[in-house]
Amino acid sequence: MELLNLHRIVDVTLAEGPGARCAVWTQGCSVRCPGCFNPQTWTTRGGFSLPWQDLVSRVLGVEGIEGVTLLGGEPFDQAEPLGRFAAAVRSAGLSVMTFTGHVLADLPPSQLLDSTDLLVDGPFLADRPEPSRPWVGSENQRFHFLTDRYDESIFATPNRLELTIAPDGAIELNGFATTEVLEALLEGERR
Amino acid sequence: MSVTLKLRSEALAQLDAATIAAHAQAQPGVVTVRTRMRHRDLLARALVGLRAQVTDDGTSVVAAWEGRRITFGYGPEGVQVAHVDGPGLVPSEASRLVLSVDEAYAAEVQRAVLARLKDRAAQAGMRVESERVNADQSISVTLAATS
Repeated sequence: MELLNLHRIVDVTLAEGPGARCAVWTQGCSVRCPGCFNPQTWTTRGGFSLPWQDLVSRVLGVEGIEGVTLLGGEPFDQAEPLGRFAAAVRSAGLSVMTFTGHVLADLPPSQLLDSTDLLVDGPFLADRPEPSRPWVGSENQRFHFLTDRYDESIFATPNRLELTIAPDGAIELNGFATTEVLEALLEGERR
Repeated sequence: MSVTLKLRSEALAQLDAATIAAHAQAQPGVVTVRTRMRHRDLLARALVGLRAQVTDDGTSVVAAWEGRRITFGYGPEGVQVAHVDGPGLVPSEASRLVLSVDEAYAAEVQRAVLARLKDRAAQAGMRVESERVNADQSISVTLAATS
């Protein structure tokens, strides 16, 4: 399989993991956690298709990033082409951080798992909000340092939000904040 | 877990209709252009940025440059029509003039929305960590949680 089904790509962001990263949201999620912040990514429709090789070219053309973050959707629903992508960018020196709604023990072996430096696993549980760690929504979600690329020092990073306001009127937002902060920030705006 | 959203600001969404819909040359040297720009304070700011002499009599805003003048007529929905006049004026030049105002207006609204979001961010316990203008003229701001 060559094609990825993607929801969004942000070339450079400080809000999706350690350091400056390219963030890639996949389209389609088989986990579908109640209370998910991105239910628009659940369906496999509505995204855009891209050969994994083209995504590699795009990412390697971005200056100043230390890695790629794969979010969803559910990245492991597309483990085969994403694994090839992850292996390619990693061999070029970039780190790979992957979010999944599955738990690590349930993930079958894959090139995506083998090519992930930092895995964040577990479903989002709306009734168990995470009090302190960055980038995760609920306290059950775990960080797995699968290589020596990162360690627990990343937990000192604050949660960040990035807003981009285009001249044509579109506002794009990514990152993590509590529901209360998002509501306060976006009051009066509309989806 | 991360949120990714694409939004349309109420204010910015109105720009969809701000672009010229039609124009007609009613008389030689005067071209009327249909447009809609709701916020007259932002319009005035945009015009000043374009180095126009700006006057506002309460029902219309007049922007004057040497040899060219645009009169923006206001209705309840904001600017409805822009009359452009000046010696030798042709419709294509009038359209270009109003489009340039439209672009400057959009930039003012963009800045206003950004300022509003930054104000709200501060109230929501986030601080502005960085801000940049991108190659496509979009403006990005990074907010960091303070607690």
